[in-house]
Amino acid sequence: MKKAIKIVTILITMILISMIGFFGIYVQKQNRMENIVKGYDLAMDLNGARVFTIKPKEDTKTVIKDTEGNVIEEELTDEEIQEKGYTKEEVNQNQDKLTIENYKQVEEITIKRLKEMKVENYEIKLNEQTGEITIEIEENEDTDTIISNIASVGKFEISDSETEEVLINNDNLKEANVLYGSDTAGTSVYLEIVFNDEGKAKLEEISNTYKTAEEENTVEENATTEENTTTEENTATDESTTEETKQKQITMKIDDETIMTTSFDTPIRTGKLQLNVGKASTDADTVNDYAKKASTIATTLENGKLPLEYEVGGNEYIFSEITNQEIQYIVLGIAIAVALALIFLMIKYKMKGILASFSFIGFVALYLLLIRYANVVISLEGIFGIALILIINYIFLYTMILRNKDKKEHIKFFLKIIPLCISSIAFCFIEWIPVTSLGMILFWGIILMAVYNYAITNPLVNMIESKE
Amino acid sequence: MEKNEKFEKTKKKSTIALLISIVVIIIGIIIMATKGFNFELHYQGGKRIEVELGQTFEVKDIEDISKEVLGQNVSVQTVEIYKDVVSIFAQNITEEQRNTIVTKINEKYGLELASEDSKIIEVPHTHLKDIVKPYIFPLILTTIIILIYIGIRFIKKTSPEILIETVGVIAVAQALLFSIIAIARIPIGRWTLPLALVVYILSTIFCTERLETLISLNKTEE
Repeated sequence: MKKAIKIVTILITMILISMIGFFGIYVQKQNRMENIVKGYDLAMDLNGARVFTIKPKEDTKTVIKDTEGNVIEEELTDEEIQEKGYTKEEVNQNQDKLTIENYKQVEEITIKRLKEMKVENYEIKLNEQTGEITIEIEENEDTDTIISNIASVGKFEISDSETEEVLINNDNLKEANVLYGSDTAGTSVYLEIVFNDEGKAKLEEISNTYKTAEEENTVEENATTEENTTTEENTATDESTTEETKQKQITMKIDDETIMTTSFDTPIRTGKLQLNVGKASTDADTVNDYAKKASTIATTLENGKLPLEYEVGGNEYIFSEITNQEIQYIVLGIAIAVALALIFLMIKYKMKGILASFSFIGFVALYLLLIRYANVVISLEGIFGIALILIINYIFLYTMILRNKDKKEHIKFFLKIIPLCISSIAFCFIEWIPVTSLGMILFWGIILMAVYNYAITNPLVNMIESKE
Repeated sequence: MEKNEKFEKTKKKSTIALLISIVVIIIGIIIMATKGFNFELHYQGGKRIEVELGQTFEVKDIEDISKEVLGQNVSVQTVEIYKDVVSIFAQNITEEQRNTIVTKINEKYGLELASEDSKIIEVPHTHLKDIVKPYIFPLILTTIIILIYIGIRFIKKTSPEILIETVGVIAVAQALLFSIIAIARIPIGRWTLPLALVVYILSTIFCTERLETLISLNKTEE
């Protein structure tokens, strides 16, 4: 009698879990019923993606040519051009840079930037004829920032503020990092630019040449506390100082935008420049914003300069080509296969089979709930992972029905799937959503399989066996 | 005696399976070298038009219209959150075909859209190396860890050759899968790599399953 009550209790619990897992819990909210069970997080391939293109920037210039094709330098009106029989043409100044090699280099740099910006799922296509690159990325809060920065040229220059002679450029860069510094006044975010050996020597020479005059104090030691990297006001103040004292100064530019104009207090021998991006007292959001800004500049600088200027073309959100209907077909296919397999169990093993089938359905429902609450992103790989776990759980169930009392068989089963456990854990740490998705789904599936079958299926089958 | 017979039978079966696999792989390699892979439309590249309907629509309707004009190999996707723009992608779309599609959409939904507003955009194809690249490191990493595990657990009880065998089984399984894809002209698409990952996992399970069985057989014999 006690056993019967136990069985019924377990079955009712499983039915309840199954109903929640498969259908959800609906509550009334503002005159409509809403499912309060968390929905599935779908990856780009199942949900949709932001699709945008970057293309070579057209830098056109009007060129006047005579009848023999020679370029006429003098400025002429349309009437004069017509009178003299000249022709006017729009010429792309970047024409000589429009080569496949350059396009491929841009593609490579773009991939590096995407990785650096922690984009864990993307698709990139290069049109080798036009140089246009089509990129698909996940839609999230960082998507717009990524799109606005991905096509930056990443040109870095330190030049003489007066003669504009370039003293250091991208070739002298080694890496760029984001650093934090805390004191009682708050947290500062720095952009650290590290130079290679050649750059280090050049920087030392420049910091000696452009040394601050003794009475002046433009930049503190190692140029670490220049207030704001983009403030025009700051630059203007520095420039006015220059005029008064005839102090030689350098100008630092990123993508032709002046970041600062300054001189050096002491020679820099470390080969590192630290620029203060911003400081916040307690506001974590502000610090994060500064960090994001610094990180974007670091990413742009670190992965090399684009060989030609690019601009963002089309930018839109496109839904997945795998429609809900197709997903429904897949789910239906899996459901039919599961139903057939369970019917086979019920016919072959009678009561044991029926209980095992109930247990399997409960497992599926609980698994689907676990995936949702463990914040697992489901991709196509993930769907394959779910199917794999269901098959493995079915085989385990079968082993339990046949040899439930032989605990060694259970251990043997798990020993055989150790590669699956290794794969699942290793995949979880890969920064590529389709692989991570599979890893996470397998990981939670294996954990649940071990715990659920030990706690639910095993006692159920045991009870029936002892009854028999 | 009985065990020896069983062992011999299994060995014979394995040899036949390996021979068949090698034949399939060779045919696959020949086809890959001569004809290459067949790609799904998404990776194939082609032409795309976007039609701004300004109202919600049934994807099925647009799909039917597109298939009627462009043939069966067409992909129709909804664009933007308001779901009032449709993207039609096919291997090739001529201006005439675009005009016909827009006319038919106008007839279906009672609209007056101008076909010139839907520009034909060229979509480049995706290289196989770009599709496969993100999966190579995870697979190599996992294989190394699995080989370490197999080394620790089985080498003393069997022989060091099992490591080479394991790598062989994994490589043959993948080669077999891609050969079948090439021979059967199954398009390489979004389903291919998930399938390859599953085949990879199954091949590693197969290796340990075989080794575990071998060890338990040895134990029984002792």
